Amino acid sequence: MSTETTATRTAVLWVPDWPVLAAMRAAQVPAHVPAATHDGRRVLAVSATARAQGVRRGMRRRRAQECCPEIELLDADDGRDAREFEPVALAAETVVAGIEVARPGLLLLPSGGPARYHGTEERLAQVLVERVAQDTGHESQVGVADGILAAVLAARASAVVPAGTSRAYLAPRPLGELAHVVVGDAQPVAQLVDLLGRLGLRTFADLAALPAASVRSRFGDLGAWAQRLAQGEDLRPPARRRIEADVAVECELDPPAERVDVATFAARRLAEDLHAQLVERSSSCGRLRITARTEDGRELERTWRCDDGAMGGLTAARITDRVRWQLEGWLTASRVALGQRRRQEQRQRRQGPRRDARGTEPDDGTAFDDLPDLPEDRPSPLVRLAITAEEVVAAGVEQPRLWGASSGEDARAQRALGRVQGLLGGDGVLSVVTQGGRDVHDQVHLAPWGDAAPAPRRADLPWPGRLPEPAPALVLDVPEDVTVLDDGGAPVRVDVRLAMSAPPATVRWESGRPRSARVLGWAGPWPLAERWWSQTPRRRAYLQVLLDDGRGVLLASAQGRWTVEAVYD
Amino acid sequence: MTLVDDALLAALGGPADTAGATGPTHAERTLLARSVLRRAELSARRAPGSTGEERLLPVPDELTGLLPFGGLQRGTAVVVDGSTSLLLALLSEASRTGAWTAMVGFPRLGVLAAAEAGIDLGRVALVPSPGPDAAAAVAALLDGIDVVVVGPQAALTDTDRRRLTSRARERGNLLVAAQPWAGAHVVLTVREGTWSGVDQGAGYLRRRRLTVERSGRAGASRGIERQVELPLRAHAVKNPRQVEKTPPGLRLVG
Repeated sequence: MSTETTATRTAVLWVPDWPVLAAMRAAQVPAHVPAATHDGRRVLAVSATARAQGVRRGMRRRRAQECCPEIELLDADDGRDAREFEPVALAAETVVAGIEVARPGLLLLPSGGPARYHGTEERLAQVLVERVAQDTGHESQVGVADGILAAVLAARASAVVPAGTSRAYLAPRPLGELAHVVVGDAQPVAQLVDLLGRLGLRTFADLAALPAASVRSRFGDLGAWAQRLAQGEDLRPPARRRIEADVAVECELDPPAERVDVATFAARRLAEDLHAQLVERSSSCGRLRITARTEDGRELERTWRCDDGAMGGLTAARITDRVRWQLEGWLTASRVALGQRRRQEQRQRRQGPRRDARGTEPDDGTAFDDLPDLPEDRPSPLVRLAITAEEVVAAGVEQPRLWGASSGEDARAQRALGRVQGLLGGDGVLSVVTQGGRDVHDQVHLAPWGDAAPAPRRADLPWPGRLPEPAPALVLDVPEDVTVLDDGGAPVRVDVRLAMSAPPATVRWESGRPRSARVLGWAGPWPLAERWWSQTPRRRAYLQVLLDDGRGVLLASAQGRWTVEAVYD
Repeated sequence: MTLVDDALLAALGGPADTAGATGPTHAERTLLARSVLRRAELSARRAPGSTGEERLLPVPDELTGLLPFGGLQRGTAVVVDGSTSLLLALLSEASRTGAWTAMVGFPRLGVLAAAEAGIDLGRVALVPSPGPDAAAAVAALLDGIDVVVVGPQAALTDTDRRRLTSRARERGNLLVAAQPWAGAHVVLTVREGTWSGVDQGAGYLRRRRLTVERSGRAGASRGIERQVELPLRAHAVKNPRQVEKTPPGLRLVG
């Protein structure tokens, strides 16, 4: 295999120190403050200002603070890196269609076509860097070469390697630079480089010169991978991210459609056209957006879902029906609304300045001020109608089963949750796992939906002192203050030896609506002393109480104060 | 399925039977075929004569008596008022068999209790505080989530509720509310409940006994009252019929 046949001309856009930049942006750390990300053991990524002061990757926290006392150490978070990188990818996508995000901070894109479009590869690099800086404010570097390894190394040097010279470009470089293209775990590659170094193979030229079969038999798949990269080849062509485009059809209605049947006639033609296009692409769509423009310049828009039972399959007739129902709604509703608005405006502007004659093009805010007087029963005619198929997916992704749910329901659920996140923000939708802990709050780990944050505490360890099952079904987010009284009306106390002063007889809520409940039975108290070695120890005693309304409550006593933590209902 | 096949063969007459003049008459065969179909439908947990959209989400065996068709009917709204434990127990079987669940406006829901009831947390999403967009959020969730639980913190008007109910009917999802819901199909209200097991300091809250009253419309209009014991798992080994026969309130459990 020769280099020319397998290596794709690839451009790489690299944002240096991306994890730190993403963390700084998320934590709103100013750019001049030295910063680094830290995973609890070692420094993972260092900002340029911190590097200038001598902080290096792999240092311990104390050593980094020794080099640079004012350094800001931020937590490492892969989800945040990927999330923050999305605007950069979008900015690059406005220049080049079809990109691959190798990892946050590193974009691969094909360079052949775009370079021809922009003139030269240097020009393409310049446009990319400018656009990313303009849209996101991040500085980036672009390198162009044959094959992924040469392109990544060229991006680090901000260079363009002429076609066919990638192997020569790589030849004198040390094997350690393989680490820059590793996407997953870097440890095996580092071990391989170390081993090759001890065998006397120090540069890419040394490795590329060996017979391929011998390398594979001695160093396995990883060795073969390294050798192919060293020869300037690609492992595979870049898998480009392609956004399935919405399918849109539209038509102008001339003369404007005043009646539903006239508009429906046009809609039927559009629906058949759209259906034919979808069939041709062998795809199906999740939503239909119907857009219409009225003669007075208003845009009417409505989206219908159509991915399963709601429509029972997508046919031209069904699309027409949807559009017809919508048109009926609009043509009737717009008539009513227009009439009301006109009446109101006429009343308000009886003494106002004279309105212009009809024919002036109404636009945005002042549209209805310029309308001529019309009879109230006249509908606002439609001049343009469009149907757009959104969420286009390959047909067959959602295959209904004979009995039971359709096979695409996981994807559908993910899409619905994504839409709610768009509505409420990323933190609005939470995923939940159980984790180790003793408290009812501690045993639950919440994370924004889509964040792959692992639970910090293992659940399979013994957690002595944990409350017995069943767990309370209602957990109060803010514990309520109560007083617990005994038969004589004196407050119940739990002393240091866990003896209660008297059995509880009444629980009285003080805050909010004052009320009290009789105690029918109780269990406990169970002590819980957590983190007594730390600055913030927590000592409390739990008591389960059965109230006279039939519900159980979980009471906690700390320093003579009783609170309701949860309700068993 | 072998049961169905044998019965069908018997009903429709095997090749050997057709020769004999004493085979079942046409009417008998139709009757038998209908009963076999009905049994097959019941074993697949589908309501008799239902179309594809009126599928049933399964519930644990102990709770089938509470619901009109022995399961949670898709496209309906169900209210469980008075006990969150009962709500979680109702949803456990559906979640275990693959249904997605979202809890909207229910920040106090005990997630640990949900996991103990048997709900698969991998298919659960929480929307604790939807704020003023609650109606839009629930509507968007109904597009893809099978079971949407609406808690007390979701700010909805009665108009919103009716609109969401019709959306659920159209999309074939289940709406479950923990508070009164205008136009609900099934309303389960906890009349009284108590816990056993505390034993004046020596034990802990072990079992919950609830008296649940059902009301509603469309199949649930006949009000009934049932006793339910939670958590359900202790029942799993016992014969459910036996549990029904024992008079409530006399058995020592745990």
